[in-house]
Amino acid sequence: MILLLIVLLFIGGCTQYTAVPAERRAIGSLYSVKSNVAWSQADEGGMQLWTIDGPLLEALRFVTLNDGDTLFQTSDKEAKLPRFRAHMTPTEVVEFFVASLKSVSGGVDTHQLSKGMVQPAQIRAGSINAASIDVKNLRPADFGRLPGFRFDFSYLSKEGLERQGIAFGSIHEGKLLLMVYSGTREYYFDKHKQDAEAIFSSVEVVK
Amino acid sequence: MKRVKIIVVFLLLCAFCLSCATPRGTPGAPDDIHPSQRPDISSDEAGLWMYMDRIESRLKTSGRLVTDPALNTYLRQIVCNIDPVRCQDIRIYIVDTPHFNASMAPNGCMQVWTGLMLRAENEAQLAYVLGHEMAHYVRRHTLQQWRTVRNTSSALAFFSLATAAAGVGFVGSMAQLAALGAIFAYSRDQEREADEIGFETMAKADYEPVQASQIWGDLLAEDEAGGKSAKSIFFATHPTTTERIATLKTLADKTAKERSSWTAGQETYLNAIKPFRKEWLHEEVHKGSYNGSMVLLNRLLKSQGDSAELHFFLGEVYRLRGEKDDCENARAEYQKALQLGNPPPEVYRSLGVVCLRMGEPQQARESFEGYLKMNPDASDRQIIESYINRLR
Repeated sequence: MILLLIVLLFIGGCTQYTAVPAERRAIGSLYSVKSNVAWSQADEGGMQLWTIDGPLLEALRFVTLNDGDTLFQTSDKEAKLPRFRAHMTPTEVVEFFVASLKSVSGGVDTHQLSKGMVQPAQIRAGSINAASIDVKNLRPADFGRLPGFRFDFSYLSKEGLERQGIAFGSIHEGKLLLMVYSGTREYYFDKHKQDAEAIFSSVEVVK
Repeated sequence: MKRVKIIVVFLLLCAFCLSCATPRGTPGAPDDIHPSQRPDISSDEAGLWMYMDRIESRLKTSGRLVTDPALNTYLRQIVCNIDPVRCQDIRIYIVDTPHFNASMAPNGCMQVWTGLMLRAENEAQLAYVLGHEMAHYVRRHTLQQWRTVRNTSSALAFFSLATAAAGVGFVGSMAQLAALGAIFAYSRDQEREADEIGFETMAKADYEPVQASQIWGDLLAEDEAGGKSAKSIFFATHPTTTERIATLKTLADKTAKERSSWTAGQETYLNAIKPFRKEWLHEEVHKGSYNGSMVLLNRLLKSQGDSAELHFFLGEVYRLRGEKDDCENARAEYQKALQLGNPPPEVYRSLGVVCLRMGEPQQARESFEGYLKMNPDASDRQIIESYINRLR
């Protein structure tokens, strides 16, 4: 009986995933996307995280930020995390993205600290502890009917594992709409890159 | 008379023996670590070393290590200048992190963060900080602290405390790296002792004594400007007081008279860090402690002379801070950088962004065009061209 309770408690503490069938799906109230394959979805600080093989291997995150929002949340009231501003150019969005990653990175291990540590919310994964962050190929890209942008990035995880990603977004009605696909450079990034690209191409802006 | 002589000789012998045996620091403190010494396998110190060895093995695979052979060799030379005997026992890791920190784990694992190297103005200042850290190692301060804490809590609680204690404000997650070295705050007495030994070793190696108090004073000024959230992680584990800075100044005044010439090593130092300085400045301005970064950049401009690179990054701090008048301030700094000649190409791009924000489309377009002219193979060429087309 005690064992059963422990197992139930353990399961209760895990992230809850639901199936995302291959169909059109709303992302917040501003746009929708269509997937060609089934994904699994979890809620991550109010944002949608989609994955096929698990978020540490590859994940697609849908981020919507208002003016003044941070990409990560922290329990430390004194922390100065970079804030998104509605007037930003894509060049500044890239700076904001990289500075945000750096602000929650720095260690070589995360298991020892909990008190006072920055807790990523919008993007919350054990793999966020980036070093050697590199951004390339910032270029214009249509986000549905909106002018948008995209860029490629790579970084080393806390274990020294190379990760690669694509960010695709637009600023609309003062909000940053951003989709971030990332995965291990070895195998998983490439494995679902085309599925992520299909989702990027399927954006339909609602209003 | 003979009896008096015996007593005098006896007293002199006692005085001699006492002077030999009296260790530095607190009574009951362990002896200094000897060269090549490893703790006895059955000792509590061996457990501490084993723990640090395990953490050091993780540090070896960190993506933050600066592996450049020339820079690593240069740092090793400085460590060997200040302690030629023990430097072979030290493993030095340069960690790419824009905060001021250096640490020395009890097993000989030394970390030097790039934020410290950016801030040191010459070899003497870096040598003093490294000498200070070596003193913690030689005097086995971590072991002393461990034994003190262990008496009042379990070993598990000790390690949790050790890592949590280093977490401060914005640099919370940096604490994990700091924890590899100074596993938690040293006592003020230990700091005074490390100051004293660090000072002695740097002066013995001919480094200019006044540089010791200078680097602490500069860091304190930067910390005060940056506010609570920008508090240096180094000061979190190394409590620094104005009293200690004053003591170092007094020591420097006395010692400086002993010799007519000392080495600051500014030129050698700046040449050694030159290939990395732009990247370190980039990391510095993007870490978000804008007021502290301004103090630092203005100090570097004063001590190292006008340079397009420093004015560009000062402009970046204003642009990123984005408070009232910061666009004008940023533009003024970018223009100074352009006037000085040989500016980084990014000056044009940032100037374009600022002009755009200030509602000056023509200047913005010209600046973006200047960026592409300076940097025709820029990876963000397409987006810059899209800005230019929109501004035509």
